[in-house]
Amino acid sequence: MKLAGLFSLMIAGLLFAAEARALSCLRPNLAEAFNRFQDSEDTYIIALGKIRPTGTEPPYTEGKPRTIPAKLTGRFMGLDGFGADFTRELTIQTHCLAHWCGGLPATPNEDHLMFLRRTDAGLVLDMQACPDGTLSLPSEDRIDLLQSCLTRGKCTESDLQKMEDR
Amino acid sequence: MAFVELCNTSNFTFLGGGSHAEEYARQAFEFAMPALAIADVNSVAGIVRAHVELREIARKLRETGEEAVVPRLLAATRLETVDGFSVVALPQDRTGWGGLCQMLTRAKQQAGKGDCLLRFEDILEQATAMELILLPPSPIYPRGAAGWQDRAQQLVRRFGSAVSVLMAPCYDGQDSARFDAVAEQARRLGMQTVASATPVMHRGSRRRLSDVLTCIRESLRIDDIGHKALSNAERHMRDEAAMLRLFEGHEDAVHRSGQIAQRCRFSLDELKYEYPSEISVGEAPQARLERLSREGLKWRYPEGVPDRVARMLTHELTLIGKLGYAPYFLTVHDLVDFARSRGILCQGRGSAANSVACFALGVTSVSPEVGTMVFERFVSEARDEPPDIDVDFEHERREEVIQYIYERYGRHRAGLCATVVHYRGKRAIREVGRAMGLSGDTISALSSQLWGWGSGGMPEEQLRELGLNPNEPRLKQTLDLVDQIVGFPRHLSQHVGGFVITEGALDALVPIENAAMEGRTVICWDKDDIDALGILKVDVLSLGMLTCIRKAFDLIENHHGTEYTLASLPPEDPKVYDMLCEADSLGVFQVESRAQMNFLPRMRPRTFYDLVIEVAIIRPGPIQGDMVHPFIRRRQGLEEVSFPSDALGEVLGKTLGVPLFQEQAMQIAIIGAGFTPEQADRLRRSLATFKKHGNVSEFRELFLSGMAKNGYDEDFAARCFGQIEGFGSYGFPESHAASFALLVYASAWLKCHHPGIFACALLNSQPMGFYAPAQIVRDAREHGVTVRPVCINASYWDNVMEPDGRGGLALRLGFRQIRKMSEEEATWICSARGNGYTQVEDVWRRAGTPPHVLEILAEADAFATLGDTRREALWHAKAVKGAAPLPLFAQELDGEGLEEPPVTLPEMSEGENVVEDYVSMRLTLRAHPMALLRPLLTPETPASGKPQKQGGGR
Repeated sequence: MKLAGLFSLMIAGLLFAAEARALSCLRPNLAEAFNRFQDSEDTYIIALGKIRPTGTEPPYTEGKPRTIPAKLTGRFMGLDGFGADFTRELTIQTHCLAHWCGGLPATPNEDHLMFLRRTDAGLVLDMQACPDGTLSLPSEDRIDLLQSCLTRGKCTESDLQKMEDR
Repeated sequence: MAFVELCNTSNFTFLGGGSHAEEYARQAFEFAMPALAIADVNSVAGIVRAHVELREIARKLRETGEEAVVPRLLAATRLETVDGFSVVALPQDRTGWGGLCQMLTRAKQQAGKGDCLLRFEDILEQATAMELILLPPSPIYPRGAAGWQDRAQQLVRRFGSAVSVLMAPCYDGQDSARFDAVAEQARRLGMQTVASATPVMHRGSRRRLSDVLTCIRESLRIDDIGHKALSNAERHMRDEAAMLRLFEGHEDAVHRSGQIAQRCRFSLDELKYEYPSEISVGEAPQARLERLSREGLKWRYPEGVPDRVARMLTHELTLIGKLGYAPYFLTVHDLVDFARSRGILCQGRGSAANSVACFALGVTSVSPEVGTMVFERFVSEARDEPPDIDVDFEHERREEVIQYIYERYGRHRAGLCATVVHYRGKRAIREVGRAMGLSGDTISALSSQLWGWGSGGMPEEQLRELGLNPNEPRLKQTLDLVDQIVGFPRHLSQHVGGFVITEGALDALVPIENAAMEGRTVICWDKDDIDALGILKVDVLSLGMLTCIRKAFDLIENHHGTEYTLASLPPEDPKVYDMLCEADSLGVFQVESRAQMNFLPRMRPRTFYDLVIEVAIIRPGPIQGDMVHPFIRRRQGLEEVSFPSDALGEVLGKTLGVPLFQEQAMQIAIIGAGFTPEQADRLRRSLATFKKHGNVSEFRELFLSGMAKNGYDEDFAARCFGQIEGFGSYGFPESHAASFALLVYASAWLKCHHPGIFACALLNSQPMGFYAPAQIVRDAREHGVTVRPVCINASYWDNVMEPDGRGGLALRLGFRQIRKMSEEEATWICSARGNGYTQVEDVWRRAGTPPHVLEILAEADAFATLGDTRREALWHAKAVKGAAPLPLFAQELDGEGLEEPPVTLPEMSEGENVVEDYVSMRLTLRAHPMALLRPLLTPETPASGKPQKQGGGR
């Protein structure tokens, strides 16, 4: 695990495409996602905030991923909690599974908990056909649970179960 | 030693005691008793009432120069354990009081709301520094006496001479033998006896009411009360002479009560409130307040603080320093600061809220330039109590502030005030009527005539009109009992947001118990009680309009990039006032009611202060006090503005000679009738509690004679007092009205300049306000807002603003408008939507949405964008089977061509669609329902006649 910046914790690992466990999307389990991103080779930051696309949204072409510029207003999660509020640019990168493609986060005016990929070009929010790196309106319980995973560096089996239950 | 009654049971032993604590206090004064104790069952909720009553008696004696013994109130409670062991506990000193409160707190917090799980061991462990009077089992029929004796011995071993045994008469002809037996038992156990009449009422005349209370408690009719009734009317308070007669041969037990009272030195006046120290953060409170206020002014006036405002602040800070209120302002600042750090909109109101200090601290956004308020009126030296500041927070986010209070100060140091729920009209009629065996019809009929019910009961004619015989004894008795029970406390509830925060443990100050709501704790005293004891309360209230305004500000920032706060909105915008003058105020805070809409075009507000008046005038107080018409006639120039004197002209000038605000009423009393500020303050208090106790009349005399002395004619004086009475608890202080007026202006500004965003925010803050979503949507469309229907591919849970394709914004209805739709399902549908759904089954397959939710969406016509009509979508939704898709088979079956044959469903008419819209969402974007009936109602008008406004007319 590496620390980057004042408030952010980077999680290294490989980004998986959404698993086609079934043809309907499973609701994301943040503990499971945490472990997956932790094992990824990319570097991730956990953030809580609102996302709004900036400029005109590019049109959708069937089965083709889109790159959508957006603005994030929120906070980064660090080892000792959330840091100060900020607003910064990021890119929403949609990914497709056949003709199913990812879209924008679910609630434009409310908070999302999200895993942001750090790249040389800036922060990227990957939106899979089945969203697995964002959760809208996360409860305090879930945020606390994710915080404890971050402190430990891993989510345990019991965390996975608790995340399902809440 | 003079006799002291130590075992009075007041009506705070709910449905037990038959008299108010204040009545016992007055009775004790009449008996010249040196002290008395109110000992309610596991409760000290009523004792402050008696304390305040005695204080008031002492004040009156001082004023009149009379000399008489004012009884001392002894704190007490009757502890009853879960297994029936009873003991009256009287704290001897502050330590004893703290221990008693903590014992009750623990016992109450282990139980549900209103219950107390007290064990004998708790008493044995914690009853230090208390006098304990044990209630023995009947010595005549001593069942279970052995167990009781064991416990009594344990208590004597632990607390020695502080333990006594109660000697009380039963008036059954065996009292003499009973007293002898108790005395013998006490001697054996090494205890002294103490006499008490164990009153459950202050006078014997309350016997019938006591029996009715028993019936209500036991759900009995009075005819079936049997042995549960009081056997006589003797269990009332008695003076020393009567007690000595009753306890002949045991006079020492009577005198011992006075000795116990002497050993109990604790007084409620000793409860010194200490402000929490966190708020000072190492600085002296006054220095911190001064620093924060001056910094705040620089923040409020970045281009330089006006001299007048700086002078006002200096003046206020001096007064605050003199009275030692800095910690109070800092506590409120702490909460407001937290709210601001979380982006929670808040606005302070209350007596001191619109001071420059509060403006600088960010507690209020009302600029000090508004109005002509004088700080002393709110932070009065005459009132030795903290000023009152209530803070409204967004209603959806107030809980965050409450949890912050618990987290920052700890549950042992913070608790909500109680609200005492009293018997009033309907409940009194219902419960007493039922206990007295009246029929349901009679009870309903009596309830329906509640408004005709004056202090002298219901007029006979009114009873005859109801078909009742006013001379029928049972009915007469019932009405008399209803009159008596009104004002009796029924139970404790939690105050809407009054928090008490202390430096030390709160449970050593007052018992804390669980509220009905999970995670909340309440103390047993209400706001008047803690006011009387000088304990700090901060009101953390919730207001729907603040939620709406914050959401609107967020939307403006998101879509237009402009950041607004309550303080930064462009002031005095004539367009906003133009809109209000046309009564175009649907959704606008406070002025959206029919009465306000009716008043706006007559009032024609043009300035912020007009809004302050607008808010204050359409209230029951000014309306009942007949202030509205004189004011409006004067404002319209139809009546000359005149003042009864120059002095009153100064007070009433800004409201054209008509008193509209509570402060003016107080000023009239001071300037016109020569009240002292302290008397005026008591008048204000009696007005506030007038409905409960009705004790304004003593001021009437004082007021009228004062006015006459100062040369005002009798008629004018009587009218003034009538108006002051009218205020009661319904009048608005100017500071409240100014705080609310700011929200009126803010919401009106939003509606005027951003009608779409305002409607969107209003819909997202429901339920709140006067109007249903259908009316809000219709109003928005009448203001040119494009409203788009709920769409499976474009809607979110909340209503949102989206580009309308013409450079503007359209309001997209959200899933929250659909009945039976859950937020969780809707949010997941949006999360899994990705590049969009293409058919009904797609939602099921991709998001795993259960079929019944698909049906809800289909009924709301949310699939129209996919080319499916409501019926077609419902047809497809009904075809989906199983809670979750089985993808493998689904694919195979698709391939094997087992698709359903195409069907042609009958098209729904416009009328049917309108009906279904209302069934599903309680609103429609199609025709107004009346538009469909128009051709039938006015056959001569062609159906395609005049073009109608979108959404129909108002």
